[in-house]
Amino acid sequence: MKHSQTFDLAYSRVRTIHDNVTGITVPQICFQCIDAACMKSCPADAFYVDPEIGAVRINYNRCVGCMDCVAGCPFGDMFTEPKNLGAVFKCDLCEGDPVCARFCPEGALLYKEMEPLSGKLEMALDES
Amino acid sequence: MLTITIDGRRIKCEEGEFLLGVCQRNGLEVPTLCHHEAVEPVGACRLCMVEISHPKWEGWTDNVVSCVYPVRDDGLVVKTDTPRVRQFRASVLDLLIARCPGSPELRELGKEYGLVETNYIEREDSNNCILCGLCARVCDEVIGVNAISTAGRGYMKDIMMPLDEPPPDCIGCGACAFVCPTNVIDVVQAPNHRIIWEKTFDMKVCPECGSANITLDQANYMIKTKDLPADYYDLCDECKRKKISVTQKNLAQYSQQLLDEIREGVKSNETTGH
Repeated sequence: MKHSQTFDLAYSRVRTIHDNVTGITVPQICFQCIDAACMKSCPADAFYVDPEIGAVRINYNRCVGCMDCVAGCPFGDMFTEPKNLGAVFKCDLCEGDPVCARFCPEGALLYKEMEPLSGKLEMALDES
Repeated sequence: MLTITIDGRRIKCEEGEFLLGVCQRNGLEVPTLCHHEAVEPVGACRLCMVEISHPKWEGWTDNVVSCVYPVRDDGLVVKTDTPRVRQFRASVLDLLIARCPGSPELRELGKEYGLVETNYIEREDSNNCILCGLCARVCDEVIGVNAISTAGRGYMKDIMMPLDEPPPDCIGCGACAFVCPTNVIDVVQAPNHRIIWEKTFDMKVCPECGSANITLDQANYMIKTKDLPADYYDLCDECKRKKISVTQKNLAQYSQQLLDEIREGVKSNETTGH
């Protein structure tokens, strides 16, 4: 793992969900929500939005390890270290160069700019 | 905005900002045990002592505890690692190691200041707590339950639960154990219960798979204070991920449908000229 420098899937920020019916496994990563539940549940005000890439990140100097964010994330994308309870971590988009997307051989994970909607589509979306 | 000099570097800071915060922000290492950014500083451990001086002070210097020293003077000269400061920190560590002989964190810090053994008599009934009160401050100021506090005077002073019984207000979040600089507070985590401060907490067990990641008391406390729906903490992480993957699939199909409809609508508008 890039962040913890260990080989242990418990420290991975990407988790996969296996669908037994279709046999398909899909990865799930933090959505970097605009109105993030982790940020709202934090009593220590330790979360901030990275101004450059828009990732929701943790200021570890302010974190007190209460794990409200782990339980508070509605998508299950906040984790705590199994042997050090309270040491929480989440996807921080690797400062703009996610290693998961770089190493994915099948192109299932991509890191790219969102394609802007065409003007008319956007207007139609606003109206609907 | 004031300009001060720390270890020969000119650094800008706000008036009233604490000196330790300025040092840490600029990557200068000042040892500290009791400091945490989320709580008000109290200057309990005295390890962040630095030497300050000013061109107007005619050569006089002062030793201040940087975590509670607000910067007021423009042109302040700060030195974080002078022999006098090192000597002061060494004597503080000497006393701390005598109080907590079993703490590896303090021993390691002591080695940096040339202390292998303490010069005083090591305390025998030590619980390795340095009495910085960080756990009690975090519990009060950040979590907001105030379950523990310091009690007693002098030699008998200790971090205690009310009436020395399992604290009724404690929600079992474990923040006190996480912030403790000498890792004194024990947390026992089992699949369906957690023991902290001699109190056993039931975990909020996921109804679908049976695993858990929050204590029942903490969930209830959060629901009450943050005004959340009562079933907010029901599912565990794994089940939340499963649920969201199904929702995502449905959502993707739905949004694709919606987009197709809009596209058709835009096309029909173009043909009719609106």
